[in-house]
Amino acid sequence: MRAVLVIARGDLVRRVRNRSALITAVVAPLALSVVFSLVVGGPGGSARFDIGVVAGAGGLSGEIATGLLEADATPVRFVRIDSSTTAARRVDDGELDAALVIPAGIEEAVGGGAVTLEVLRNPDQVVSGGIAESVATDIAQRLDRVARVLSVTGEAGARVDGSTMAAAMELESAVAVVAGRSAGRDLTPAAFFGASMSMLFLFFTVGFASESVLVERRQGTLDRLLSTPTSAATVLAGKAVSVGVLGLVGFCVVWGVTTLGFGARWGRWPGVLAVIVATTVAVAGVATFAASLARTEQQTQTVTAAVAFTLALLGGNFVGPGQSPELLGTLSRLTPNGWALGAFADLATDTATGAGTLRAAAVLVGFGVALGAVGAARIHRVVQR
Amino acid sequence: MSASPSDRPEPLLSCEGLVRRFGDRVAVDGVSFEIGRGETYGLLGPNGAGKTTTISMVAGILRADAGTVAVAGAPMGTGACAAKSRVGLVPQDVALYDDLTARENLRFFGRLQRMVPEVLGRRCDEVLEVVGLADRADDRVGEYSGGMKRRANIAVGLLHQPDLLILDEPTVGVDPQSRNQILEAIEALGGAGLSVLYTTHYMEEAERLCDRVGIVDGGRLVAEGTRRELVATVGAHDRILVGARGDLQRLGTVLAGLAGVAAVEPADGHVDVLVDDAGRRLAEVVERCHAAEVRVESIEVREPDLEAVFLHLTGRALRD
Repeated sequence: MRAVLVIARGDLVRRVRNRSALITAVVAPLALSVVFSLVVGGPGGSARFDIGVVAGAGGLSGEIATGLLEADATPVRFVRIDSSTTAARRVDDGELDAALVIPAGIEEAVGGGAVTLEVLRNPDQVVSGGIAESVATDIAQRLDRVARVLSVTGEAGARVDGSTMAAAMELESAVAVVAGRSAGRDLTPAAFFGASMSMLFLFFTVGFASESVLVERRQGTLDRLLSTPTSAATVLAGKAVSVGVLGLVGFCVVWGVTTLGFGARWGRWPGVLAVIVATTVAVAGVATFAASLARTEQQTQTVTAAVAFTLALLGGNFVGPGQSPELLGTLSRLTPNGWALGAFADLATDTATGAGTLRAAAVLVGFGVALGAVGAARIHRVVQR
Repeated sequence: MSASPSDRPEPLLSCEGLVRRFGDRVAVDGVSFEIGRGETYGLLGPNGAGKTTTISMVAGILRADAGTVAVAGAPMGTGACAAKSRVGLVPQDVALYDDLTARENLRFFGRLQRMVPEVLGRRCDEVLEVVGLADRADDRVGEYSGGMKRRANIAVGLLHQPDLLILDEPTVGVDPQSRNQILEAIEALGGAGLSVLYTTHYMEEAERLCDRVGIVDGGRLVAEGTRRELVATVGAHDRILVGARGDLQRLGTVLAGLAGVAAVEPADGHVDVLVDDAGRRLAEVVERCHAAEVRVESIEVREPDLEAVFLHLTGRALRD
């Protein structure tokens, strides 16, 4: 064990000195997560948003719903839903991006009562949820204006002058918009992309470590290491510890900086830490396996990049959970990226359960251990000639 | 030269029937040799002869397909901690981390040799002094000249006070001044009783440093012994070149009758005398020159070198 730590420490010192660790583990993921957050404004990017509308068939709510359903509001498409229960289920299942519930007695607001428009949204769906809320707010404002004026004039069709409007504005609002899912919070872009980019660059951190085995063999330091009372397995274990430390530190620095500097909410720290550790294990395993397929330093870089970007695309690192087409959404569950990002999103939106987080962590560790063991065995054969 | 073959004690290193294949190619084919305590043994052969592969098996870096290696009785292998701790390796290429200082490199490899901190610190200072890098110990190796890197490379091999130091062509690509410093250091180490396994394709280095030499070609050890034994094996002679004025034909006839003289060849201004042992015959040759009334202007003794032995054994020059 002592030799493992000696090798890990030496590896870390060298990587910090030549700045490669700082760049791949901290600077690059941090910079890209900030850039993505600023450019995209939130994890999203689907070309179309399906927003459900729950409303009665007749009356004012029915008229409003009909108006929305007939509106050409590309990229937003409104879909009539029978009940708020059905709408909530379809939002949860990801079939709808959000839903707007217009109560049947909305005329009461015009008659002096108070009504509430409810927006059902999935906390993961920042953009579509925001669109649904905007629509609801617009409807609410229009209704509210009419209700206030009628309250002052007492009749429809009366002349409205400045003093009437001023009096109307003094009244309390008759129509309110509420979020239909108080349990969840919005997923902050910096939190999602912080995790996403840290994960992506972790592949390169691991790839560099695997490549370093080949570099050390070329430079002769590997032979010198193996000429000491140190086994090939110990050398590899030392490098694995070094990668693990770098991955964890990088992740945690991005976590801290996005939280303190950009207001990101990653969720409860024990869960976040558990998923970070599990993600590090998963990526280390996958990247080790990928690197083991290479025979040269150049091949290691190429294979690592190909695997990192393929898994990132499949897993939703660039678009966010729930934003991918259905097929990709399904495929993402076959990747460690999909599991990790799903777990991070649940934690960040306060919708995670302990069991769910543990299950995701277990799957991630399983990915890492299974593929890492195969990869390490392959690299061991190369080292132990 | 610190030991002769006759008084060689129990071998420190014993290699028996080493074989290593890379695919269909046999890189080392049944190599056996021993090194006694305090002995400097050279593996001499051209590039690609199998020297580095052999020492990689001796150092426990490379698995042997067949054969055994033992260091002080402890079997050597890729997982042999006891045997490995008795061996210091100086690889052919500088095997150090450029981003670390010389002292940090030493500490790193010293920890892997399981040296305790107090001893490690002291030994670092000592070996840095030995290789002349004490004043640059805290500079990064990447900033060193080629010769300094070579010396730091040797320091790592010496750090843990091994019983056997393996040097794999340590002077390749080194400037003459650094080369001489390295050779002097190795001579001093051999003189201090350290056993040394030295590979080279430079015949002069093998002759200068080694008590015994193993000649390697095509993965096989084709001959082994002291320089004189090897020369005797192939029947090569010492040569005495007598530069003189006078009747050189008559001198040639006189010298040809001496015991131990194999051949005499008078030429313009000198006589070329082939003898079995120049050291033993030189005085008599000089005496006969005076008796023959020729004026001796110069005498040069040339002993047959390992280049000639290699040529005789393999039909090729050492650097072909």
